[in-house]
Amino acid sequence: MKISFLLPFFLCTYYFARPQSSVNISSGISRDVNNTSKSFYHIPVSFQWKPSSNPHGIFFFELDEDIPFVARGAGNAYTLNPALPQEMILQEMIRAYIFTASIGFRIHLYSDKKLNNIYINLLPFGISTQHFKIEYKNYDNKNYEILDPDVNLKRTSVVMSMSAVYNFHNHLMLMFHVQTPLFATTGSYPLSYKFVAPLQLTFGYNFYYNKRK
Amino acid sequence: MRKLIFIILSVLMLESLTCKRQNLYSDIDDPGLSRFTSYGYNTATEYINGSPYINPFSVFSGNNLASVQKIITTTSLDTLSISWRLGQMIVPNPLIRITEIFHF
Repeated sequence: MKISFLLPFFLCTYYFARPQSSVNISSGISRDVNNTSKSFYHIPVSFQWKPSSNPHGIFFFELDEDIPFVARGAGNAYTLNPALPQEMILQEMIRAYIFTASIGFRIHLYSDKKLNNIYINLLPFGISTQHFKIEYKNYDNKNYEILDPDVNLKRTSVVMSMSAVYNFHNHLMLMFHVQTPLFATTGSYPLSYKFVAPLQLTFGYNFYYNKRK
Repeated sequence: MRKLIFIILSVLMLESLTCKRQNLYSDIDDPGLSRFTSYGYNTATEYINGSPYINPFSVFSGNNLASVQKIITTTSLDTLSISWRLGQMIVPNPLIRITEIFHF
């Protein structure tokens, strides 16, 4: 699935490719800003490729993988078996896996004498997959029924995002990145969670190759 | 133009009369049964002789809502009887009733 929707990206990158470019890889911490009752935290791994050799080239491609921490909730389970406690409170564990591929352009804001610079990246089009995996700890599904259970969900849809990037010491970068939730619905069955809107703070390294002289 | 609007409205009315919305969300732990919810879907599901039966309650389809009755017993537990008639679409004889007894 991932490969199929990445194919246009690879074709585009081939078209835009010039004899140079920069690639950067960054990672840090991400917090969800869309869910109010529970918040999802992730370790984001972000990969950006700016294919143009022109120092003022503005287009780039970005891939983001968000590795989830467990978000915790609770669920009430009931039984009719008189030999067992009638009600149990179960711990619910939700893992939200996110993968996003985006295309965008950068707007230069500021440079100093040491060539440290600040950019705003705008990514008006991205495709993202969010996969929620639900698990109830110590759930005895033979004897108990959970009231209003959460269920697994996997959706792929369009997202938008933007980020502020500070490049310093030639190769280092600091990025503050925010992404919209999926432009999709979770379905008609009510769930306790919504799509994730990750707010990321990442630190990374720029690799330059075939630099212009 | 008026004819077109009339046709569209007629189709929509027919659609609303013929389609019955069923809020049935299957439970992965109990195949064929609905999830246990408090969302007011007015749907009862149960295994009868090992087969899943789905009984949606609706004033339009003729299935009455389930009746709930508290049964007085000598024990310290409360006993609740919930019973409903099986839908005509499910069994040929709609007079068959399902009764569940719950002790609390």
